[in-house]
Amino acid sequence: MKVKIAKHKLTNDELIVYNKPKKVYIPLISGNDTNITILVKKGEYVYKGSMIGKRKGDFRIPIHSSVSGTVLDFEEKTCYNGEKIKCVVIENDFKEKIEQKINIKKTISKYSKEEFLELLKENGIVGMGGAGFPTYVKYEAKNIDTLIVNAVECEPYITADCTLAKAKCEEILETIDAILEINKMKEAIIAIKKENVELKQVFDNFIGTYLKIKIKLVSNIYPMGWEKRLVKEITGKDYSNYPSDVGIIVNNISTIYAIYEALKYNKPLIERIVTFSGEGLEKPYNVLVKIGTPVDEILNQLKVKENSIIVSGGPMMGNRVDELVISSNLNCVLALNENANDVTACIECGKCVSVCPVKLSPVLIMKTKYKKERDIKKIKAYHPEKCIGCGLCSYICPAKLYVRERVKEAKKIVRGDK
Amino acid sequence: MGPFLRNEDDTKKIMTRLLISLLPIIIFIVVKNGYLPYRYGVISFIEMFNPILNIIIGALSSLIVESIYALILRKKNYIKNSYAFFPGLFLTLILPLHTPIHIIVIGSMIASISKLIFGGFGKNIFNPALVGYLFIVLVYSNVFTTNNYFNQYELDTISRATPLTNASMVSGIGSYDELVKPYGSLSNFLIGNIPGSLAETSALLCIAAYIYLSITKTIKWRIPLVYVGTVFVMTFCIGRLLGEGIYYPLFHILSGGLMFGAVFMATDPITSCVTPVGQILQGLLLGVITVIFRFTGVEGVAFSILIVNALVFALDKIGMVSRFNILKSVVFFILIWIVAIALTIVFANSRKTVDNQDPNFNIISKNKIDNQTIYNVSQEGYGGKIKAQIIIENDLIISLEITSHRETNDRYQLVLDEDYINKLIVNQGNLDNLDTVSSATVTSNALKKLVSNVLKDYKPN
Repeated sequence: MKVKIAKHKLTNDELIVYNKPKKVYIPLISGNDTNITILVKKGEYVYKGSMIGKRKGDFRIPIHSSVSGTVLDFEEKTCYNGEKIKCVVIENDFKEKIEQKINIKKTISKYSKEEFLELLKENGIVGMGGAGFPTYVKYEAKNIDTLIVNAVECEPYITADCTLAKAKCEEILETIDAILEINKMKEAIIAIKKENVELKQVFDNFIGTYLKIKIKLVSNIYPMGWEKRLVKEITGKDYSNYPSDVGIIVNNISTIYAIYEALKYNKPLIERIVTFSGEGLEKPYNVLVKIGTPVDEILNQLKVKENSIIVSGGPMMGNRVDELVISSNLNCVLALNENANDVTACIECGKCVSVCPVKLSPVLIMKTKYKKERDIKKIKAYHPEKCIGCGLCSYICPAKLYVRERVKEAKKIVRGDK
Repeated sequence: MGPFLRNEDDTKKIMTRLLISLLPIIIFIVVKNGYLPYRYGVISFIEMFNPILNIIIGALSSLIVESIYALILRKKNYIKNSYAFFPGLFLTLILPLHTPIHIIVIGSMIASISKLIFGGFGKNIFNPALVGYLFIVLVYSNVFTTNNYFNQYELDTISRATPLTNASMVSGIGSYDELVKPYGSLSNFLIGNIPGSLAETSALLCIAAYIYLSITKTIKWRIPLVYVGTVFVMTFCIGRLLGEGIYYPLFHILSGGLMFGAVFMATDPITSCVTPVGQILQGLLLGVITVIFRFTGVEGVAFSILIVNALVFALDKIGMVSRFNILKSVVFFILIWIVAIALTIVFANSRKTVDNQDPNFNIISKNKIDNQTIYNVSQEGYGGKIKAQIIIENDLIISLEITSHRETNDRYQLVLDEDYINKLIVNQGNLDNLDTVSSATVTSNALKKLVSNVLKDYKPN
């Protein structure tokens, strides 16, 4: 069963800037990995763009400071996934001092592939749609020929990518073209939702001279922005692990723009556009913010209503949080009215099964009890680890059960997190 | 806890749609069994309300049982969200019209209790209404007699059993004349103008409800489709093997409780499969088991559904695994298909009648003189062989003479009193519509068969 979720009316393409946080809390997390080497000490002065941490293990992605100022402390703060993450607290001196950078070429397509990968890596470019996967790793794959630019943004409310694309359309096209040339790829396809006519028109105005870049409209069903579904919809190809298995790279608009800034200015990923929306705000905005900014500062500026609940992420995949700091993969913050749905008994209508994009059987996972060790084996047969957290099972549930949470619990158990 | 957007559809709306889809059927019941007999003047004004009264009593009995349960356990909100009236409502709908009130009450209570034993709404394994039905079948089997099924008007106009009971009495698998004709035509089966349980007769309204409920995503649409489809294909093949036409499978899917059971009972969300493959397997199994029941003599929609209820968990397990790898379900499909094909062949062979010849009929002699053919024949009657001489002239029976018989004298006298032998000669071209003599059914029927067998021998086809 394919599900269309109505586009939310609470959208606004107006882009505002909030770049004066008193303190920033840079989360020491990359993707889901909190195994980070800390490179600064308490009291140390850091520049805007200084490396303050580096991921251990295979992907040595650095983490940068988004302000210049003094490292005050290390503190745990809630991050996009609703969990407490250790953060570096830096007091902003508002001087925006930058370390001297070299090796900048005026034409961004003139880099060699090695230089390109190095720039992406050193500037900490990661997927900005949610997973936070290091972008340079995607480009290290062999035999890649197609770049899919994900401008779908299938969750209601979220317009961060769309706003950015409208504001920086020329830069984005230039970057896509440069990526194709540097990596000797055949073509790029910009995927836009059918209903987003405005965005298509914007691209249509500028795309004329870029012969290798095409625009493809995709249907409005949710979750079309999910990589696997998008690749299938556009190319008809299935893959098991990564799109690069079938010669494809998927980047979203924000990531492409971050690549642009890395190539053009050697600028690390220290700020991003985040959608602020929901009934709890007077007016929705897209805000350019520094990574590490505490969300309540921005919400206060946007006059959030009292008693609103704060959601990190979109309405479908997001989590309710009490406090939140901006991270590179957070695309949306919602302030919503609390409305408790009456939860009733499961009638086993099977709707959650028919909507699941990864073919799980959520109701059966919910019904399985797994208290003892041997039950974990039982639950493994249901493959809850495949869950992508799209939230459709809860969305469709006529009994208003928290199906997604139950599947997530099972997922954690199978992965051995608990 | 997320997500923060929810679909507008909820359990309450689903249950409301279910009730809406039942409404035309309930109106049909009231018109067929209440209003029409009243208009024909065969029942009184008060009796007109009997069918609707039955339904209300059934629903209320279930509601009361669950209310008491909620009171005892002090579950305040339980009754608000448990849709407690459904078991009794559905049970009444599949019972005969003249089921005594106290049996409706007991059955509905048993139905609800069977739901509560498992822990109440959402937890029962077996369809509650059908558990109540099973209870009544086991304890009060005399409820299911022909007379209870018929409304007063049908009693006066149709002198046969319900279609499936009638079908179980014919030799072989029967013929159009035996199966369908007594009730008019197949369109009567479709509309529901035939005797049967309250809600089960109108296939058309069940199909309409199916379409409405499927479009509004209220029921699991695969189950009824595969279920009815399986019965259709199997009975089509059996009919084909025995030389019967398309009417035969249509007769099967349109009669008995199949349509109503498939649309409303087999799709009961709580007791049916949640995975698509599970639902298809469920439909297949239901179809095969129902055919088995029907060809071993009883109507078994209710029992098929109850049997498969017990397998739902296993079917869903297959369905769950095959969502990741469809090949893992193939072996089960093949298994069920093999069983279905084997059963089709077995049933077809077991019902084969050699050239449709009546084993109770015997031609002693047959002489042709000019344009006359003289038959000396015998036919098994009530007390033994009835021997007769029949003379056919110009393709018409001109004389029928009973030469000897062993019937009891008073019964035979009844036949003579009715001038039945002459009636047979007069109606020789239209024997199917000739009624038998009441109180001497077997004797008169034997005579009728004797004549028709002679005609069959004289003019095959």
